[in-house]
Amino acid sequence: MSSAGAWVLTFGDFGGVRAAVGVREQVHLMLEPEAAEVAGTPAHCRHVIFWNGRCVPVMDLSRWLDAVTTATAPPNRRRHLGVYAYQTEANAAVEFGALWLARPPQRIEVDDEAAASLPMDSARWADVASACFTDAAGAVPVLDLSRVFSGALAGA
Amino acid sequence: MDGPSHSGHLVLLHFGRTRVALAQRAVRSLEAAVDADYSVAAPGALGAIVVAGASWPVYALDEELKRLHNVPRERRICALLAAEHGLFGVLCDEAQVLARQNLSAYPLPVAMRRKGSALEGVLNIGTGVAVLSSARGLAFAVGVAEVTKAGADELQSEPLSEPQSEPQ
Repeated sequence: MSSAGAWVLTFGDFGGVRAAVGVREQVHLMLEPEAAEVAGTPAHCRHVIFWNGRCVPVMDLSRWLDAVTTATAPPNRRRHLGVYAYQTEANAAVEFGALWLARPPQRIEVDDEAAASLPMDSARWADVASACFTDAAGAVPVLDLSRVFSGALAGA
Repeated sequence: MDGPSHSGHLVLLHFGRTRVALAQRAVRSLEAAVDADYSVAAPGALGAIVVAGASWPVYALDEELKRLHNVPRERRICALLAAEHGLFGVLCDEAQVLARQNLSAYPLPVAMRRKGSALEGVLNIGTGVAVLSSARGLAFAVGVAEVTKAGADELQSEPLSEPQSEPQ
Protein backbone atom coordinates (compact mmCIF):
# COMPACT_ATOMS: atom_id res chain seq x y z
CA MET A 1 0.00 0.00 0.00
CA SER A 2 1.33 3.46 -0.84
CA SER A 3 0.28 6.90 0.24
CA ALA A 4 0.73 10.43 -1.08
CA GLY A 5 0.42 13.93 0.29
CA ALA A 6 -2.42 16.15 -0.84
CA TRP A 7 -4.12 19.43 -0.07
CA VAL A 8 -7.88 19.33 0.48
CA LEU A 9 -9.47 22.49 -0.91
CA THR A 10 -12.87 23.84 0.09
CA PHE A 11 -15.02 25.95 -2.21
CA GLY A 12 -18.33 27.76 -2.24
CA ASP A 13 -20.28 30.07 0.05
CA PHE A 14 -20.76 27.46 2.72
CA GLY A 15 -17.63 25.43 2.07
CA GLY A 16 -19.74 22.58 0.83
CA VAL A 17 -17.61 21.63 -2.15
CA ARG A 18 -14.30 19.88 -1.65
CA ALA A 19 -11.54 18.70 -3.96
CA ALA A 20 -7.86 17.86 -3.65
CA VAL A 21 -4.61 18.62 -5.42
CA GLY A 22 -1.19 17.05 -5.11
CA VAL A 23 0.96 18.44 -2.33
CA ARG A 24 3.49 19.89 -4.78
CA GLU A 25 0.86 21.53 -6.97
CA GLN A 26 0.01 24.23 -4.45
CA VAL A 27 2.66 26.92 -4.68
CA HIS A 28 1.17 29.92 -2.91
CA LEU A 29 -1.72 30.87 -0.65
CA MET A 30 -3.19 34.38 -0.46
CA LEU A 31 -5.25 34.98 2.64
CA GLU A 32 -6.40 38.47 1.63
CA PRO A 33 -6.04 38.51 -2.13
CA GLU A 34 -6.50 41.46 -4.43
CA ALA A 35 -7.90 40.14 -7.66
CA ALA A 36 -8.92 42.29 -10.62
CA GLU A 37 -12.17 41.63 -12.45
CA VAL A 38 -11.95 41.32 -16.24
CA ALA A 39 -15.04 42.21 -18.25
CA GLY A 40 -16.38 39.93 -20.93
CA THR A 41 -15.02 36.75 -19.38
CA PRO A 42 -16.89 33.60 -18.23
CA ALA A 43 -18.78 33.85 -14.92
CA HIS A 44 -16.64 31.10 -13.39
CA CYS A 45 -13.35 32.78 -14.32
CA ARG A 46 -13.72 36.55 -14.16
CA HIS A 47 -10.65 37.58 -12.17
CA VAL A 48 -6.90 37.66 -12.54
CA ILE A 49 -4.07 38.24 -10.12
CA PHE A 50 -0.67 39.59 -11.00
CA TRP A 51 1.73 37.26 -9.29
CA ASN A 52 5.49 36.93 -9.82
CA GLY A 53 5.29 38.89 -13.06
CA ARG A 54 2.51 36.72 -14.42
CA CYS A 55 -1.17 37.24 -15.14
CA VAL A 56 -2.85 34.28 -13.40
CA PRO A 57 -6.52 33.41 -14.00
CA VAL A 58 -8.67 32.83 -10.92
CA MET A 59 -11.26 30.07 -11.19
CA ASP A 60 -14.47 29.89 -9.17
CA LEU A 61 -14.78 26.12 -9.34
CA SER A 62 -17.99 25.83 -7.32
CA ARG A 63 -19.68 28.23 -9.71
CA TRP A 64 -18.59 26.20 -12.72
CA LEU A 65 -19.66 22.93 -11.15
CA ASP A 66 -23.09 24.40 -10.46
CA ALA A 67 -23.38 26.46 -13.64
CA VAL A 68 -27.03 25.70 -14.30
CA THR A 69 -28.26 27.14 -11.01
CA THR A 70 -25.72 29.93 -10.60
CA ALA A 71 -25.64 31.35 -14.11
CA THR A 72 -27.44 34.51 -13.01
CA ALA A 73 -26.50 34.47 -9.34
CA PRO A 74 -24.13 37.01 -7.81
CA PRO A 75 -20.55 35.86 -7.32
CA ASN A 76 -19.84 33.61 -4.38
CA ARG A 77 -18.26 35.12 -1.32
CA ARG A 78 -14.56 34.51 -1.67
CA ARG A 79 -12.03 34.50 1.06
CA HIS A 80 -8.69 33.13 0.03
CA LEU A 81 -6.80 32.27 -3.12
CA GLY A 82 -4.58 29.29 -3.77
CA VAL A 83 -2.10 29.45 -6.63
CA TYR A 84 -1.37 26.14 -8.34
CA ALA A 85 1.26 24.93 -10.77
CA TYR A 86 0.53 22.49 -13.54
CA GLN A 87 1.83 21.21 -16.87
CA THR A 88 -0.27 20.38 -19.89
CA GLU A 89 2.17 17.59 -20.77
CA ALA A 90 5.33 16.08 -19.33
CA ASN A 91 7.90 18.36 -20.97
CA ALA A 92 5.75 21.46 -21.22
CA ALA A 93 6.49 24.66 -19.34
CA VAL A 94 4.97 25.01 -15.88
CA GLU A 95 1.84 27.15 -15.90
CA PHE A 96 -0.10 28.68 -13.04
CA GLY A 97 -3.74 29.11 -12.14
CA ALA A 98 -5.55 30.20 -8.99
CA LEU A 99 -8.68 28.94 -7.24
CA TRP A 100 -11.03 30.81 -4.92
CA LEU A 101 -11.13 28.99 -1.60
CA ALA A 102 -13.64 29.14 1.24
CA ARG A 103 -10.92 28.44 3.80
CA PRO A 104 -7.22 27.59 3.91
CA PRO A 105 -6.34 24.17 2.47
CA GLN A 106 -5.87 21.18 4.74
CA ARG A 107 -2.81 18.97 4.37
CA ILE A 108 -3.55 15.22 4.43
CA GLU A 109 -2.03 11.86 3.50
CA VAL A 110 -4.06 9.63 1.20
CA ASP A 111 -3.72 5.85 0.96
CA ASP A 112 -4.46 3.85 -2.19
CA GLU A 113 -7.20 2.06 -0.27
CA ALA A 114 -9.16 5.31 -0.07
CA ALA A 115 -9.85 5.37 -3.84
CA ALA A 116 -13.52 5.96 -4.63
CA SER A 117 -15.97 6.97 -7.32
CA LEU A 118 -16.62 10.62 -8.14
CA PRO A 119 -19.44 12.24 -6.14
CA MET A 120 -22.84 12.50 -7.76
CA ASP A 121 -23.53 16.12 -6.74
CA SER A 122 -22.32 17.42 -10.11
CA ALA A 123 -22.03 15.65 -13.43
CA ARG A 124 -19.20 18.01 -14.24
CA TRP A 125 -16.69 16.43 -11.86
CA ALA A 126 -15.70 14.02 -14.59
CA ASP A 127 -14.48 16.95 -16.70
CA VAL A 128 -12.04 18.27 -14.10
CA ALA A 129 -11.12 15.32 -11.86
CA SER A 130 -8.64 12.56 -12.60
CA ALA A 131 -9.34 10.44 -9.50
CA CYS A 132 -11.25 10.47 -6.23
CA PHE A 133 -10.79 9.26 -2.68
CA THR A 134 -12.86 9.27 0.47
CA ASP A 135 -12.16 10.59 3.92
CA ALA A 136 -14.34 10.81 7.00
CA ALA A 137 -16.41 13.61 5.45
CA GLY A 138 -17.07 11.91 2.10
CA ALA A 139 -15.74 11.80 -1.45
CA VAL A 140 -12.92 14.14 -2.48
CA PRO A 141 -12.26 14.45 -6.23
CA VAL A 142 -8.62 14.97 -7.23
CA LEU A 143 -8.35 17.87 -9.65
CA ASP A 144 -6.59 17.63 -12.99
CA LEU A 145 -5.37 21.22 -13.01
CA SER A 146 -4.42 21.18 -16.69
CA ARG A 147 -8.09 20.52 -17.43
CA VAL A 148 -9.35 23.05 -14.89
CA PHE A 149 -7.34 25.84 -16.48
CA SER A 150 -7.73 24.73 -20.08
CA GLY A 151 -10.01 26.63 -22.40
CA ALA A 152 -12.41 23.69 -22.42
CA LEU A 153 -14.31 24.92 -19.38
CA ALA A 154 -15.01 28.33 -20.91
CA GLY A 155 -17.21 26.74 -23.53
CA ALA A 156 -18.58 23.91 -21.42
CA MET B 1 0.17 39.96 -28.40
CA ASP B 2 1.91 43.17 -27.59
CA GLY B 3 4.63 42.66 -25.04
CA PRO B 4 5.13 44.73 -21.95
CA SER B 5 8.05 46.58 -23.49
CA HIS B 6 6.13 47.66 -26.61
CA SER B 7 6.52 51.38 -27.22
CA GLY B 8 3.96 53.93 -28.36
CA HIS B 9 0.61 54.97 -26.97
CA LEU B 10 -2.68 53.34 -26.15
CA VAL B 11 -6.16 54.81 -26.10
CA LEU B 12 -8.25 53.74 -23.14
CA LEU B 13 -11.99 53.76 -23.78
CA HIS B 14 -14.28 53.63 -20.73
CA PHE B 15 -17.57 51.70 -20.94
CA GLY B 16 -18.94 52.14 -17.43
CA ARG B 17 -16.50 50.30 -15.14
CA THR B 18 -14.87 48.54 -18.04
CA ARG B 19 -11.80 49.98 -19.68
CA VAL B 20 -10.71 48.83 -23.12
CA ALA B 21 -7.22 49.58 -24.41
CA LEU B 22 -6.63 49.96 -28.13
CA ALA B 23 -3.49 50.77 -30.07
CA GLN B 24 -3.54 54.47 -30.86
CA ARG B 25 -3.49 53.78 -34.59
CA ALA B 26 -6.85 52.00 -34.25
CA VAL B 27 -8.56 55.24 -33.21
CA ARG B 28 -9.06 57.60 -36.12
CA SER B 29 -10.61 60.40 -34.07
CA LEU B 30 -12.68 61.20 -31.00
CA GLU B 31 -15.94 63.02 -31.63
CA ALA B 32 -18.70 64.29 -29.39
CA ALA B 33 -21.49 61.73 -29.06
CA VAL B 34 -24.05 64.53 -29.54
CA ASP B 35 -22.71 65.04 -33.04
CA ALA B 36 -24.08 61.66 -34.09
CA ASP B 37 -27.49 61.54 -35.76
CA TYR B 38 -29.60 58.94 -34.00
CA SER B 39 -32.52 59.34 -36.39
CA VAL B 40 -30.68 57.52 -39.14
CA ALA B 41 -28.91 54.22 -38.65
CA ALA B 42 -27.62 51.30 -40.62
CA PRO B 43 -29.08 47.91 -39.59
CA GLY B 44 -27.86 47.10 -36.08
CA ALA B 45 -26.39 50.55 -35.53
CA LEU B 46 -27.77 53.20 -33.16
CA GLY B 47 -27.06 56.13 -35.43
CA ALA B 48 -24.54 57.62 -37.80
CA ILE B 49 -21.85 60.26 -37.60
CA VAL B 50 -20.48 62.34 -40.44
CA VAL B 51 -16.72 62.82 -40.46
CA ALA B 52 -14.76 64.26 -43.37
CA GLY B 53 -17.81 64.13 -45.57
CA ALA B 54 -18.58 60.45 -45.04
CA SER B 55 -21.19 58.87 -42.79
CA TRP B 56 -20.19 56.05 -40.44
CA PRO B 57 -22.36 53.78 -38.29
CA VAL B 58 -22.37 54.35 -34.53
CA TYR B 59 -22.72 51.59 -31.92
CA ALA B 60 -22.69 51.28 -28.14
CA LEU B 61 -21.37 48.55 -25.86
CA ASP B 62 -22.19 47.69 -22.26
CA GLU B 63 -19.69 46.85 -19.53
CA GLU B 64 -19.52 43.26 -20.74
CA LEU B 65 -18.76 44.50 -24.26
CA LYS B 66 -22.12 43.38 -25.58
CA ARG B 67 -23.95 45.57 -28.07
CA LEU B 68 -26.54 47.92 -26.63
CA HIS B 69 -29.78 48.78 -28.35
CA ASN B 70 -30.11 52.23 -26.87
CA VAL B 71 -27.75 55.09 -26.10
CA PRO B 72 -26.76 55.37 -22.42
CA ARG B 73 -26.58 58.96 -21.18
CA GLU B 74 -23.02 58.41 -19.92
CA ARG B 75 -21.67 57.75 -23.37
CA ARG B 76 -20.45 61.25 -24.22
CA ILE B 77 -17.73 60.42 -26.71
CA CYS B 78 -17.81 58.68 -30.05
CA ALA B 79 -14.52 56.95 -30.81
CA LEU B 80 -14.17 56.53 -34.54
CA LEU B 81 -12.28 53.30 -35.11
CA ALA B 82 -10.52 52.13 -38.25
CA ALA B 83 -11.46 48.56 -39.13
CA GLU B 84 -10.42 46.60 -42.19
CA HIS B 85 -13.18 47.81 -44.45
CA GLY B 86 -13.77 51.29 -43.13
CA LEU B 87 -14.67 53.24 -40.03
CA PHE B 88 -17.28 52.86 -37.33
CA GLY B 89 -18.09 54.74 -34.16
CA VAL B 90 -18.28 53.30 -30.65
CA LEU B 91 -19.79 55.39 -27.87
CA CYS B 92 -17.83 55.55 -24.64
CA ASP B 93 -17.87 57.52 -21.40
CA GLU B 94 -14.27 58.72 -21.48
CA ALA B 95 -11.17 58.33 -23.57
CA GLN B 96 -7.62 58.63 -22.32
CA VAL B 97 -4.30 58.41 -24.08
CA LEU B 98 -1.71 56.42 -22.14
CA ALA B 99 1.98 55.99 -22.76
CA ARG B 100 2.59 52.32 -23.23
CA GLN B 101 5.92 52.44 -21.48
CA ASN B 102 5.90 50.74 -18.07
CA LEU B 103 2.48 49.17 -18.62
CA SER B 104 2.44 45.38 -18.48
CA ALA B 105 0.39 43.58 -21.10
CA TYR B 106 -0.44 39.88 -20.94
CA PRO B 107 -2.31 37.50 -23.24
CA LEU B 108 -5.78 36.66 -21.98
CA PRO B 109 -5.42 33.39 -20.01
CA VAL B 110 -6.76 30.41 -21.93
CA ALA B 111 -9.33 29.67 -19.20
CA MET B 112 -10.91 33.09 -19.75
CA ARG B 113 -11.21 33.01 -23.52
CA ARG B 114 -14.62 32.86 -25.12
CA LYS B 115 -15.19 31.96 -28.71
CA GLY B 116 -15.60 35.10 -30.77
CA SER B 117 -14.59 37.38 -27.92
CA ALA B 118 -13.23 40.86 -28.62
CA LEU B 119 -10.72 40.43 -25.79
CA GLU B 120 -7.10 39.85 -26.69
CA GLY B 121 -5.29 40.49 -23.45
CA VAL B 122 -5.11 42.06 -20.04
CA LEU B 123 -3.28 45.27 -19.26
CA ASN B 124 -2.17 46.06 -15.73
CA ILE B 125 -2.59 49.82 -15.45
CA GLY B 126 -1.74 50.03 -11.78
CA THR B 127 -5.14 51.27 -10.64
CA GLY B 128 -6.80 48.14 -12.02
CA VAL B 129 -6.94 46.34 -15.30
CA ALA B 130 -7.97 47.20 -18.82
CA VAL B 131 -8.79 44.64 -21.45
CA LEU B 132 -6.73 44.78 -24.60
CA SER B 133 -8.69 44.71 -27.80
CA SER B 134 -8.48 45.97 -31.36
CA ALA B 135 -10.69 47.79 -33.82
CA ARG B 136 -11.30 44.44 -35.44
CA GLY B 137 -12.31 42.89 -32.11
CA LEU B 138 -14.72 45.71 -31.31
CA ALA B 139 -16.09 45.61 -34.86
CA PHE B 140 -16.95 41.97 -34.21
CA ALA B 141 -18.47 42.83 -30.80
CA VAL B 142 -20.77 45.49 -32.23
CA GLY B 143 -21.56 43.41 -35.29
CA VAL B 144 -20.38 45.78 -37.97
CA ALA B 145 -21.89 44.20 -41.04
CA GLU B 146 -20.57 46.40 -43.74
CA VAL B 147 -19.08 49.80 -44.04
CA THR B 148 -19.13 51.74 -47.24
CA LYS B 149 -15.93 51.12 -49.13
CA ALA B 150 -16.39 54.46 -50.82
CA GLY B 151 -16.20 56.23 -47.50
CA ALA B 152 -13.09 54.35 -46.50
CA ASP B 153 -11.35 55.29 -49.73
CA GLU B 154 -12.32 58.89 -49.22
CA LEU B 155 -10.79 59.00 -45.78
CA GLN B 156 -7.55 57.34 -46.75
CA SER B 157 -6.36 60.63 -48.20
CA GLU B 158 -7.19 62.51 -44.98
CA PRO B 159 -4.51 63.07 -42.33
CA LEU B 160 -5.00 61.12 -39.13
CA SER B 161 -6.45 63.05 -36.22
CA GLU B 162 -4.64 62.69 -32.93
CA PRO B 163 -6.95 61.29 -30.24
CA GLN B 164 -7.61 63.89 -27.57
CA SER B 165 -7.47 63.10 -23.90
CA GLU B 166 -10.62 63.94 -22.00
CA PRO B 167 -10.25 65.95 -18.81
CA GLN B 168 -10.60 63.75 -15.73
